Amino acid sequence: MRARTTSGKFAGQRFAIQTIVYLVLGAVSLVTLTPLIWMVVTAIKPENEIFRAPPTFFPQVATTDNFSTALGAANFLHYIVNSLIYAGATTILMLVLSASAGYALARLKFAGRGLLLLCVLGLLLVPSETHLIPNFLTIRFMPFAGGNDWLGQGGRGWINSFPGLIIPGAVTPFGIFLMRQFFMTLPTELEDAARIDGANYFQIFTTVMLPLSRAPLATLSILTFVGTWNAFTWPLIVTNSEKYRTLQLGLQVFQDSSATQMWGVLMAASLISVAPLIALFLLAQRYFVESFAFSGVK
Amino acid sequence: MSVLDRISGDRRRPVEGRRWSGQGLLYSPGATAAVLLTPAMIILFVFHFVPIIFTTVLSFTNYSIIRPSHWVGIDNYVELAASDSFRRSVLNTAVYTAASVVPSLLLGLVMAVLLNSPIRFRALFRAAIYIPALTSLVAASMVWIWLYDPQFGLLNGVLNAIGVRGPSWLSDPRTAMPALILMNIWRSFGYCMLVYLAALQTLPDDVIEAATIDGANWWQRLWSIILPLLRPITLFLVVTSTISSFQAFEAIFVMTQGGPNGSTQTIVSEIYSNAFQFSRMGYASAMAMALFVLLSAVSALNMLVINRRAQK
Repeated sequence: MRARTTSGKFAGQRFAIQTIVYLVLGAVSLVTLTPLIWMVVTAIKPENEIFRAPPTFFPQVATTDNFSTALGAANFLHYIVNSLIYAGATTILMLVLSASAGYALARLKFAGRGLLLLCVLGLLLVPSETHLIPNFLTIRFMPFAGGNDWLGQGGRGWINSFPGLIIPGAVTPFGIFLMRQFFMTLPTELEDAARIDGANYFQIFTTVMLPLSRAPLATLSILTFVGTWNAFTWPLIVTNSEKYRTLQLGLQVFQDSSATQMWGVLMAASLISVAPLIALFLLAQRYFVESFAFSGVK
Repeated sequence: MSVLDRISGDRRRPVEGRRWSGQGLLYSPGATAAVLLTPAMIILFVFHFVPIIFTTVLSFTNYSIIRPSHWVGIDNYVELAASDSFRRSVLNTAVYTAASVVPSLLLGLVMAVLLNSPIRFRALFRAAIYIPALTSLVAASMVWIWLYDPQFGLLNGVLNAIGVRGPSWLSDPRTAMPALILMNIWRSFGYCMLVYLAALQTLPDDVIEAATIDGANWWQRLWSIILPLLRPITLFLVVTSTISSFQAFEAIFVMTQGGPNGSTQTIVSEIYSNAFQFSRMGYASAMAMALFVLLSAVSALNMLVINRRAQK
C-alpha cells in the first residue's frame, strides 16, 4: 500500500517533468521556426495583404504569383542554374582532389610526406579573410585568361567567370585532412592483396580505396554543397555581371535595388534558396547530423 | 593467404608464385603520389599559401588596383592603431561575439539535455531547432529584415498587439546591433545543440549509473558529472563559435551595411569596404593581418587552457 503511494507520487512527478520538457521543446521549436513560417506565409500572400498594419499572420488569400514573378521577371531561374553549376562543380572537384590528395598523404610513402602534411594542417588555421584580397588579385590578373597577356595585364582575368568562382574553392585543407584521416583507418591487407594481384597504386586507389570511402565522401559532399550553395562573399567579390550572378547574390541585389520593396517576391526567392537544403536535410538527417556535428564548421 | 583469397575470391590463382612486377610510373609510390597530389597542391599553393605572404607584403604598401603603388613601411599599421573607426569595429566585433556565443552555447546545452531525455519526436524537435543553421545567411537576413520591418513586420506587429511601440530595429543605432545578435543566436544555437547532443550520447553510462545508485539526483548528476565530462566539447564550441562570430560579415553587409552611424561595423565589414569600395587594399591587408593575429591568439589561448586542464 505504502509502496503504491510513493510510486504513484513518483509517477506524478515524472509526468509533470515530462510535460515541462515537451512544453519547453515545443515553445523553442516554434520560435526557431517562426521566421521560416513567416517567409512561407509572406511568399504566398498577395501584395496588398503584405503591406497591412497590423500584419495578418496567415494569408487570407493564397497566391503563387510571387513565385512566378521571382522565377520569370526577376530572373531567379537563371541565378538558380548558376548556383547549381557553382555548387555542383565545386563539390565534384572537391571530392576528386581531396580524395586523391588524402590517399597519397595517408598511404603512399614518398620523401617529404610529413612536411607536406604539416603544411596542409598549418593552412587549416588561416582565416579565410586573409585570402580575400590576394585571391581577388590573382583571379583578376590570371595570365592568359579573359584577355590577359602572360603578365596578367590587358584583360579582366577570371573575373566574371565560372573558373574564377570555382577553382579557388575546389579543394581545401579541411577536405584533404578529412579524407587523409579516413584512409589512415583502412587495413593494409587490402592494398597488399590488390598489389599481389598486379594492381598499380592508382588502381588500388580507384578500385579498392574509393569504394570503401562512401561515408567520408558523403560528409564532404554535404559540407561542400551546402557551403557553396549558401556562399556569398566570394561570389560578391569575383562577379559583378548578371550573367554569373548566383542565387544568394541575386537575393541581395534584388533587395538592394528594388525601389518599392517587393517582399512577396523576395520571400518566394528566399524560400527557393533554403527549401532544397531543408528537404535534403529531412531526407538524410542522419548523414547531415554526423557531417555537421564533427566538422567544426557551420 | 586467407585474407588474399577472400579478397580476390579465386582460390585457384597461384598468388604466391606471382611477383609484383608491374611496370610504369603508377607502380612507384613516389610517382603516383606526385600525380595524385599535384592538382590539389597547385590550388592550395596559389589560393591558400601564397595569399598569406601576399597579404603580408600588401600590408606594407599603399596598393590599390587603380593607382600606382609603393612601399610605405609600417604606415598602415600606425594608421590602424590610431584609427577610431577600426577601434570601434574591434569593439563591435567583440560585443557581437560575446553576446552571441554565450547564449548560443547555453541554449544549445539546455536543448541537448532536454532532447537526451527519453522523449518522443526527438528527431522532429532536433530538426526544428537545427534547420535555421542550414539557411543561407543572405536568405536568413532577408526574412529577418522583413521581420524587423518597423511598419509591416511581424515583431512590431506582435509588440503593438500587447501595447508596446516597437523601434525601427535596424535603422536605430541603439537596436541595430542587438537585432543582428538575436539573428545570429537564432542561426547558431542549433549547431551547439547538435554537437552537445552527439557528445551526450557518447558519455559513459556506467559513471552516470554509479552516481544514480549512490543517490545523486538528476540535478546533481548534471552539475557534477555530465557538465564536467562535457568540458572539452564546451571548449571546442567556444573556440569555433568565437572564430566564426569574429568573422561576421555577410549578415551585416546585407542587413545594415555597417550602419546606422557605424554602430554595426565589424572587422571584416571594414576590411571589405576598404578593399573593395574605397580601393585601399594595402590598408585593408593590414586589417586582415590584425584579424589573423587576433584569431591566432584565440586559438593559442584555447590550447593553453586545454593544456592546463590536462595537467591538473
